[in-house]
Amino acid sequence: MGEPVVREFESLEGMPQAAADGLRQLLWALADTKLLLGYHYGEWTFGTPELEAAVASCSLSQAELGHVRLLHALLRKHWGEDPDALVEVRAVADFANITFLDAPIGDWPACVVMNAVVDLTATRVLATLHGSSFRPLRMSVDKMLDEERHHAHHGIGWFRTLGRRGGDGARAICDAAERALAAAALWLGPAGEPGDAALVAAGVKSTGNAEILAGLIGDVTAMADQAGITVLAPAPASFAHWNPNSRRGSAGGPAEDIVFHLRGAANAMFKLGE
Amino acid sequence: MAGPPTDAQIWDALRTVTDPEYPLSIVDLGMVYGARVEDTVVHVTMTFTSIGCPAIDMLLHDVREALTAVPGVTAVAIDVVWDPPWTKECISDRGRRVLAMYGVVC
Repeated sequence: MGEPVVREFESLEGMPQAAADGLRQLLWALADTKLLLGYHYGEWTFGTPELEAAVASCSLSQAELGHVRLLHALLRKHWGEDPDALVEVRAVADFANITFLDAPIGDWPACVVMNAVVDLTATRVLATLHGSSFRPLRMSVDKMLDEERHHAHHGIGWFRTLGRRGGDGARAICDAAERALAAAALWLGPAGEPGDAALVAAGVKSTGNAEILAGLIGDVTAMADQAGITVLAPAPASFAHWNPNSRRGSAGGPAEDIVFHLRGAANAMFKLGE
Repeated sequence: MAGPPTDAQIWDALRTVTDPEYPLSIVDLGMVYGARVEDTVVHVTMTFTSIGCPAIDMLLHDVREALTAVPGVTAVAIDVVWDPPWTKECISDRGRRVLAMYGVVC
């Protein structure tokens, strides 16, 4: 029996509606997560233990915001979304970022985990879009993945360093990594979620989110082993009230002061025209 | 009245556009994947070194300005692509020599 023939999509035309809806949700979720990553990395341009880490955080922020721009451009072209409205107007509760990013990243171990685990979660999803049947996305994803390799190197390096050093730093990254994995499990959603299943069936994604979570836990466990620490796999998340649009199990969203700064509302009068 | 622009004129114009961080043209950096002329319109396919490059708008402006200065060009259409992804392997031999003079290893 040969491989199933998966059609290539130049646009949404001909794509099953469930897949098109799932793709919109996925792009939102990736863009929101990257937007918050960009914000927090930007904050950590200061306060790092080493100057090199500060420069790296600045660069990581720039890369994530570039990815947001690219993902928003896809949402604009294929769904008619207004990128400004996605950031400036949308209700906080509609933000579909990984919940680890909702609050300020309080210390350096948490920042390292944001880099090594939360950023990795988004990258693992991106990796399933390599070779996507949705051509406009496929033509962008390899460049994003190439840039994410550098993010991973930075995060893994610091994760190992803090773990091997032991003491409070090691305990702090264990705690943060377990919180990050729980947040990632929630964000990825329940196994067999219809939107995700439709994306896999249409060849937009190569694997489903349950497999991504299993791979992520494997990656983090291996990284923890190398760092000489133990990170426990998350308990099964409750999806009783899970919302596929916000990818959350309950009402919430990024903290108001974070969203205020993201939006630049106080400086809106200085925006440049088209 | 100017005749249609030649490929040589187009590439010469593109070579005048330099990256803001390195003393090197976008051609030697390997950012221009293709350029062709249809009547009086120049179609350029190009990429950038990173998706989050803050100089994207500036470089697009510089490309348009350089090409519209070529006699016979009435319009410029730029298609920004990310596939194939730009890597340092895209830099020309000349580009590598220039960067080496500035102490940049690639």
